[in-house]
Amino acid sequence: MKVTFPHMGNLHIPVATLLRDLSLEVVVPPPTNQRSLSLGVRHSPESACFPFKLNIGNFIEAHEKGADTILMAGGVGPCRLGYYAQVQKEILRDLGYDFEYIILEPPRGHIGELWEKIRRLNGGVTVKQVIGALRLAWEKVLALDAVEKALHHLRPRVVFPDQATAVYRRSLEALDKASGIARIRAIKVHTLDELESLPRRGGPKPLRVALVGEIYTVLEPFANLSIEERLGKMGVEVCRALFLGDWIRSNLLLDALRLKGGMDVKEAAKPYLNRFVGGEGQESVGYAVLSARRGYDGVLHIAPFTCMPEIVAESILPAVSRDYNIPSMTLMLDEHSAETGIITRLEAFVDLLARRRGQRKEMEQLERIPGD
Amino acid sequence: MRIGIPEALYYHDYYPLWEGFYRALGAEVVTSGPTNKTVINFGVESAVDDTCLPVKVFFGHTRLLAPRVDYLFCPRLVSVEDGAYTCPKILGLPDMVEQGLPNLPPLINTSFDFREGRVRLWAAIREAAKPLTRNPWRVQRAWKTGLSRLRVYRELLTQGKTPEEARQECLAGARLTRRGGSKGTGRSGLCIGILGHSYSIYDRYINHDLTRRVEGFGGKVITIDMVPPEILHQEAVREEKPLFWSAGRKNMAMAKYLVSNHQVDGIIQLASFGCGPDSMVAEVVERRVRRNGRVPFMLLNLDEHSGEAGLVTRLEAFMDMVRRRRVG
Repeated sequence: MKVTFPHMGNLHIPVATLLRDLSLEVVVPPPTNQRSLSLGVRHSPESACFPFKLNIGNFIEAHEKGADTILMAGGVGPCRLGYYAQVQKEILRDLGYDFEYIILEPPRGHIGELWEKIRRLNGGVTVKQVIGALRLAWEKVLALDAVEKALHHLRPRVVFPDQATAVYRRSLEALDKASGIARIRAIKVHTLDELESLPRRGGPKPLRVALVGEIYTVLEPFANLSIEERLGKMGVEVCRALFLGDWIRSNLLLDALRLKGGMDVKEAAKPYLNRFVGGEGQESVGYAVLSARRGYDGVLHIAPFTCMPEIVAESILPAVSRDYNIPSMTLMLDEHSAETGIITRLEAFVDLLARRRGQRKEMEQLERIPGD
Repeated sequence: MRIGIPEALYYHDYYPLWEGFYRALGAEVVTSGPTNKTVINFGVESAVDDTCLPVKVFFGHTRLLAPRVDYLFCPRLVSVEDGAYTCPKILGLPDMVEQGLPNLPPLINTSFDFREGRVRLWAAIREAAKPLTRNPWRVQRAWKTGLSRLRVYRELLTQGKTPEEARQECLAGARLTRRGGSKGTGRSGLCIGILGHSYSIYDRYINHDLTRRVEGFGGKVITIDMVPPEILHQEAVREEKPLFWSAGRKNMAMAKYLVSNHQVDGIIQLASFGCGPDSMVAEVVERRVRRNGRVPFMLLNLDEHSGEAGLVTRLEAFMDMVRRRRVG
């Protein structure tokens, strides 16, 4: 049995570690690329959401590398993700790919159910082995998040943003190969030091933009046309609401234990959207409010084209913008999003934010003139 | 007191219930009338570009109705059956409407969630009646009136009446009668199954009068509402993973039922542009029907631009093919 799973940003690093440590043979699909995109688009329903199409591309390319089993997330709706696996099954079947499927439905409080699924993957696995594998994978998630946060903070502050990106890439490779918690921690510390020691540029404090939206588009640089890197190079600090660890914690762990996480976000969203609408719709609104309160310069909202929960958020964000006097922009991304179009819009948005900040400074200075 | 009910989204599924309920409470019920060009233009103007056609249509109706009423009925239908949602946009509909349309009268935006049990449902019903009365007995009586209207309406639909006819008969005080079977079970003409959301099938402006056109080509139409819900439910739970969208669940079950009962000569699946559930459900239905290979299938995607001529041409070709297969 050769297990594969779809890409989502750096998710493959901890997941591959986890599966390998459960003594499974893993086939990581080639990094999502133009070919996966065209394969996915060709075989998916036209108006399916973007992540769905990229998943199909990943699966086909993994099959070429010998994968025969798909590990996929499930869900109970109302977002389409919960039904991805069933539709993908039908499509891959019609294409003649003979996959086994292991669909991780949210375990609704049954830890035993999850255990059964793991046993199906590998009958001889012991509890100790599972716990060890989980700890190692989780450690990688934490390290990845820490490194990424540092990267976002530093990219607009260093002289050569590409250097920061290169350090980050190297750390990804090292983390992927690392086996052992001590080694992972060492890589993390080393990377953070290396990022810190890059030559800084002077000048004003960078603009801060909150990046909110649907989890896949936020986490997957291929889907968002490396929006974080682009903004960083424009001298903008990206303050992302969702990291892999937060997502796993709230969607897999807390859900399984029937706990509700992120109350402050939901509380913040309440006056605008007092209800879960699937996916990250409510969170997008909540984080936009929180970002405004924290004094960020703008909110950038990204989502796949036709994403239902995020369309609800998109309809509501203008109200948040108005009430808190913070600019927001929504970018709906799919296979048709053109790089130039996105860059132009980003540049215009950043220009707007910079001008607003300049105006605010002038106003403050005017107010400070004595006797006026 | 005038309560406005937009003729969009779940209007065709529940109107007699809401109307019966509010009339019994002494309100005047005002509707926005059938969809037309103005409605579409209003909707396209007011809703965000990325949203689906049905929500745009809802926005249009709401904007048209808003200046004429004291309250606007825009409930949050979270779930209408166990284990299923409606859809994310319907969950967020009152919020979207409130943020997207200026100068609205107060909304009746009660959340209805049938998974939460009778107590919560009862609280929701009382909340929906609040602008009119707080007397629980009156509310209960009104709800019962509404429900009995709905039951008659559904029965009339099962008998093959159009929603307009059924609504009129309901208003005229039709009673629940079990007239045997749906009209014309005899297989003389062509029989075409039309699948899709009620607001795609019954909104004659959006689908360019599809039902009437199919009938014009000598076909008899069978829709989801003409099949007893029990049968569809049986089909739905047999699914490996039953869908978590109610409408999609019914649609999928209906497709299975039609294919396995050899009742139809062709299937037309309606989908709305930008509808999330439709993009998945229609795909699975299409693949399954084609794999089975016995029933011709056509997928019609509806959007605010779809030209009438294009639809008619495709329908004509489809009906020709269906007829040739029948003869041959």
